[in-house]
Amino acid sequence: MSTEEVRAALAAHPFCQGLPEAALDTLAGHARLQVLAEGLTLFEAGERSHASWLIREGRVGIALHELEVVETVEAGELLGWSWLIGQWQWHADARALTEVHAIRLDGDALAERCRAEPSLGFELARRALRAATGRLERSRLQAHDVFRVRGA
Amino acid sequence: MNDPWVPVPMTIRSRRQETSDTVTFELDASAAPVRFRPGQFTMLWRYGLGEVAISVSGDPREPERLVHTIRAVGAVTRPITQLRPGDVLGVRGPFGRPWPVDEAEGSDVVLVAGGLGMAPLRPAWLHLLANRERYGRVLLLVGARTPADLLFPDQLGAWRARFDTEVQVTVDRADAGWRGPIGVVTRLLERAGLDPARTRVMTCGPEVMMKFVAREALRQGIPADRIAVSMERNMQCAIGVCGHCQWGADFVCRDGPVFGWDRVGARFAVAGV
Amino acid sequence: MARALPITHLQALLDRLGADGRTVVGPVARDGAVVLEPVRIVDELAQGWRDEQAPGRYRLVPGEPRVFGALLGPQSPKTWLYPAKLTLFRAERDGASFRTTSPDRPPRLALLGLRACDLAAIRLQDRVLLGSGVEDPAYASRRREVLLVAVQCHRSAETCFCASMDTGPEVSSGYDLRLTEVIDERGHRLVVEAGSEAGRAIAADLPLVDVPHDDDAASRQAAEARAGQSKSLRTEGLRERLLDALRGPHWDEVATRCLGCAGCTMVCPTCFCTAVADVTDATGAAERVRRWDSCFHTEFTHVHGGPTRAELAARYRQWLTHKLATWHDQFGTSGCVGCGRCTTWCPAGIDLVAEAERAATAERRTE
Repeated sequence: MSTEEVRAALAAHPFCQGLPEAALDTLAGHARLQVLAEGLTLFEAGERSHASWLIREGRVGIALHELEVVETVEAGELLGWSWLIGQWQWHADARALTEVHAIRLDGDALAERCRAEPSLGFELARRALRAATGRLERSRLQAHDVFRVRGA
Repeated sequence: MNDPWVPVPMTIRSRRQETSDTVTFELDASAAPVRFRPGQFTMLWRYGLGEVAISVSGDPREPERLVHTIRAVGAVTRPITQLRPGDVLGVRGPFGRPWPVDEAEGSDVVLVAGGLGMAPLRPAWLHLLANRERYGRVLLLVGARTPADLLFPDQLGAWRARFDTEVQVTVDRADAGWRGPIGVVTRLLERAGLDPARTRVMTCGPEVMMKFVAREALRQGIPADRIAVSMERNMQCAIGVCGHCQWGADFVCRDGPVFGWDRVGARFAVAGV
Repeated sequence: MARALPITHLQALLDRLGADGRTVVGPVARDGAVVLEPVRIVDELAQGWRDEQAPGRYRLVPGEPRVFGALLGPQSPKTWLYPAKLTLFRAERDGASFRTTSPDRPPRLALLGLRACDLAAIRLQDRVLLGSGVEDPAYASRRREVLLVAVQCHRSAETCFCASMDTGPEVSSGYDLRLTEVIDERGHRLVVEAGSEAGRAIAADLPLVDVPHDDDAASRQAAEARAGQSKSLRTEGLRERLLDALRGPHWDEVATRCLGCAGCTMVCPTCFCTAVADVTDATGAAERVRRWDSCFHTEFTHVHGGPTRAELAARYRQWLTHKLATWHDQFGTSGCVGCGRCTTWCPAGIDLVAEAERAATAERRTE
């Protein structure tokens, strides 16, 4: 796996759309390509959070309670942003529901770089915030339980 | 002129249990073929018990086979779903404005169905498949509460197996046997990779769901007049005179049930209009 | 030259209207109100009464010996042209199937004593029930046969605001016969003018006398009624103002006073909502029966999961904004004729004119 390969994968991922070249270079320095086998646990609630995954292929399930998957994260999407917002602990479980191809970002190193380079930090945080608000809206919709048959 | 209030008797030819509470009936309309457009509905009368508005869920190319998919949720739908082949229902219609399948020719078309919303969209989907060459990409995005609540699962599988369609299904809750996407149906729209300049969206499901679907489509840059929703209201006359289905300036039975978001979007912001 | 029917010959009018089997319906005093009921003889008419109306208040008091001295009761032509209860069709079982039969032939009617606002209400009902796509057969059959005999108002009630709705007080069109009741030193008479072929044929059969001095009787009385009308609805821009106020604060306030009784919609001459239900009997025969319904009833918007307008505030808003705003979109005109019945017969005395004004001007938010 070359840095070139990682950088190309990053450039092709929607999460990185619009990032300056320099930022891509920085990310590439702290990223690696992964293939995760079906059933593999990426993280569990309570563990230390120090990575993010940009999913390229496959499906990861997020469970908040007793392994019940509430949402799947799929190709083109960001998995995990706790470290980016200063919370170094996972709040959910994540498990590969299929074989998953992903780019793993090293949170420890990137957090360090973001402190030194606020414009990079801003770009990453903004993207994470977008992913988080999307999750929030969908959770609200899901909480409505819109397909529940009332009065039946 | 026929009296618009008087139903025509039609015999149930077949009955199929779709889910625990939902049934598909095929009525023999050979004596009085029902030429309907995708998205239209009929009024079904169970003798002596009452009448209810139900979307036609069958193939618009088969006017002699009138198909409805009915969920047993109310005082009329419950006894109707108990009927068997050979029993008779009264039918009025079809009524209402259809999905804009003609206007959509030449475009990419995305149907977004939630729960029972798949039933009114099925004729539109069948129309797209029957006239496949007239459309660009055709996508069917389906959301259900659980895998067991999915309507027409066998057909979904067959449609998904075609090379010229894109069919995606997501559920809100899944058991361990489910390997597909989990989450709300709007997520499928986010992932669809649509070209907003050439896409039309038609959606049917609970109002909250349609509101979020429209919001996501607008966010992607699809114009409001290319987003169509299908509304459910209390409909009793189906001809715009009983007043029950009034919604803003519209009678849902006559001016809908299919509406462009440009016309009705603002109403979704006001409770109880 | 004006022609008049001496009041002593009023029976001739009733007889002529009722010729060829027509049911004549006119103003009758009953249980303290003037209602519209079949009349055969003059004595049945509400002669000598005068109505006093105010928000939440209606009284009949003795008045001049006028036959048409009381203006408006709780009923309107709707009661007869669009009955409160009606059989749409009957059905009986036929093996596994069923057979339907049409309802009984509707009565042929002559409606006597209608006011300008009543005629305006009929014009609106025509648009709703005949002119917006599919005709309602029950209304169409009654409407096509009916004779409309209007009376020119000689005064206004406190609740009248027809002038501001441009529907009165002059009876100007839409009648077969227009009557103007005159009592003066020359006597007591009904000036009779025909507005249609049918009206002319009837007038020709009546023992009318020439009354040259009554040429302007109708317009004179209309002017008096107009001058005596103090209430008015500010209609300019009302549609837009109300639709801008859908999320305004006023609806919750009026809902604290409104009882949700639906009385306003029953007495309104243009409210057209109905509900249909099955009625079966011991022989297995079924009828589809249609009754007046109201957007004030919680069940009115029932879908599975509950009513879409569960809050009384939403239901009041629906009624008022439909009547005064979205009616324009649907039928090209306001749905209100300014008769004031909704205000008079509201048990809480809620005044449509006042509420429309308040709802349309209530501030929703600060800048």
